[in-house]
Amino acid sequence: MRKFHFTPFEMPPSAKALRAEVRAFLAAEMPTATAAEKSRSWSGGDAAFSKKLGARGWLGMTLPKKYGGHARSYAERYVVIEEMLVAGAPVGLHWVADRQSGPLILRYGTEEQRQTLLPKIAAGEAFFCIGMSEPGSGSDLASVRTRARKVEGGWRVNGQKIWTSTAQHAHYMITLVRTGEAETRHAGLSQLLVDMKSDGLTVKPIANITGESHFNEVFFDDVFVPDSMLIGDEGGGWKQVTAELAFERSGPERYLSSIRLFLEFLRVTGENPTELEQQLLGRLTAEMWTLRQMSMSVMGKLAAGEDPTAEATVVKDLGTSFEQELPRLVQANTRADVLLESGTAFDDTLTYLLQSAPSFSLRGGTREILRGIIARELGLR
Amino acid sequence: MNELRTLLADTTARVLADAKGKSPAEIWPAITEAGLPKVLTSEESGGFGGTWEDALVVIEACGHHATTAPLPEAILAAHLAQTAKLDSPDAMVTIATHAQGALSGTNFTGTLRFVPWGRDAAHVLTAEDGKLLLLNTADAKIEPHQNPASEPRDTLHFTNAPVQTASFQTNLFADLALLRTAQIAGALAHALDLSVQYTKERQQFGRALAQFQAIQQQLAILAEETAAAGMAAAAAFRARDQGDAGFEIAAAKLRANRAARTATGIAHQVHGAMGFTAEYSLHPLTTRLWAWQSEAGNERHWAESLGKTVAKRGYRAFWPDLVARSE
Repeated sequence: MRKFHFTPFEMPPSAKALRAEVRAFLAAEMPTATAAEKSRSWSGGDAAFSKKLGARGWLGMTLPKKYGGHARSYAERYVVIEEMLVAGAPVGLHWVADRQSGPLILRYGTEEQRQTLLPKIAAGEAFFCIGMSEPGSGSDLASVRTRARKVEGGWRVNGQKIWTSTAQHAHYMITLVRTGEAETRHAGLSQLLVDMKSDGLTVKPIANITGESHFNEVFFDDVFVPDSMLIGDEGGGWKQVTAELAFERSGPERYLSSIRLFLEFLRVTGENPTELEQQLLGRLTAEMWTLRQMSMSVMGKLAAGEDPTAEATVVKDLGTSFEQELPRLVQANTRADVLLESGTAFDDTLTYLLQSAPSFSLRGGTREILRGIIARELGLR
Repeated sequence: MNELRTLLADTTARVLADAKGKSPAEIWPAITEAGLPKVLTSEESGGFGGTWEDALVVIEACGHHATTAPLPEAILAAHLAQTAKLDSPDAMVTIATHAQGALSGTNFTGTLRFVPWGRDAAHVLTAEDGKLLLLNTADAKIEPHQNPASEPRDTLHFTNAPVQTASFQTNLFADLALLRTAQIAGALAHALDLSVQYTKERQQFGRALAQFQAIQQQLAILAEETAAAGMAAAAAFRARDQGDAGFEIAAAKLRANRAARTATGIAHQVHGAMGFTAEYSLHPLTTRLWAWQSEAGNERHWAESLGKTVAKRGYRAFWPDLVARSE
């Protein structure tokens, strides 16, 4: 049986000044942002905003300078992204590229891929999406059927991806495709970098229950992908995808998706809360404090070159359960006069988060899959 | 883990494993000989000169082993006594967070309640009006009481009893909450171990319970809650080393209580009737986990306290305050 290790992480001395810089920037950049926009958090996006972040050196922060990065620490990147999330900044377009595509390309990409793509990621000019799920492959990801057939100078890709977030805005997709035999499951998978402007590639947005189109269907009809766009090893896709997960599962976005509603609740509650309000504020505060400690602990391990995939899974399940439950708890505990007034900042935030919260424990691996992974770590299966 | 923590972990595990099923009086000599109550006291005075984070190793182990002696309380008492320059006694010292009474000169008249192992301890340390008070339990009339885990929580009546005092500002209640948080984390880790082990052994429908998804998902939650309590304790102990830890202790005890509430239910459910027997070793852990949720502040207590603080500071200060605590 495996033990999960969480140790307190101390922010470096540089964090304080950096945080102040980011706050000043956000105050200047978002004076007219509405509550509804802020509630979108990392589901909202703005290409101009992404570019400004790139210019400030706040994208690709941990990438080496020779690839356009800034050689900053994981902790410094953490400071920047948690401030963005708390402010409700429109970070959604560059989110995947900055969080996982950049680190993935740095680790497994060719020198040419690093030189051409990483500077664009750091500049906020290249957005990425992740082509994993398919109509028949959700939680059972290893059953993907989108196939890349080897041809002269590259690959021909045929098949379909679905639930691909921000595909309609992305410049590239890192897609998981079958390059080997179907029977081999994990062994026959590879990651290909696909230019979203390729011939034969079609993106069809899918409206979700909030009325927005965040995720998409992506169709591949004989799409040509040159040899130079294979990431890592042919057949090494499964291992590479798994390595991405520690980056994807433990960040502050896994517990802060509803922070705008917590702040709204605190604002409308005011300085003299009732006992009921004190109770809820206290409980949520304790939870948030603990989750932040856990999330920073995982970041500290990533920074130290350890493999905290198991701990990251724990953080994601606890964090998404918290951010998902928060809107329901706030709704249940808010005064009727505040709750029923429509079109207010509180109402706009609550309305969006009540509807988007179901996705929190689905995106990037469902709650049940995460708990199955933890059970495996415990030696139960 | 640093060298001291490894040493403390090994020593504590050895001493406390031997202590199983023994009375406090039987256990205490080995604990004293190993120097465990002096984790936090200076090396010059024969202690380990450790930090709170070092002490966490020992206090968590007390929870893990369901130790039947006030070692966490003794560690705190020795530390406070030394810091306040009281003569630190070598015999068993406990602490009292609920004191009512009055000092007159060098004598104390009053009542201490909920005193852990008051009947077994030689001394008791308490705080009142900006003073630390060190009393001899031999001078008290002792009324035995216990918590739901049958741990002694006695009432001590003193009449004109000689007392050693020192002016010292401290929050004994918060410090006790800190200790209980670590004990909860330790007991949860052990309850998780037992649950995993039991469900791997117990067969039903021709396979181990651990192979059922319904059981796996429950144990995953148990593991997560255990991890959350462990993190909360570790972060609060670090904060205690760094100075004012009022916020962290409140948050940590609240989170650990919640973890205990959820996790004890799961641990019992996966154990079935076996976990409910007096013979099996789950109940010394779970009964303590229930008792410790009431002690040094239940969820209601700490949620109210944190909620008030947060509301008073206002929504603009919330996030800056939260992150400033670790920078």
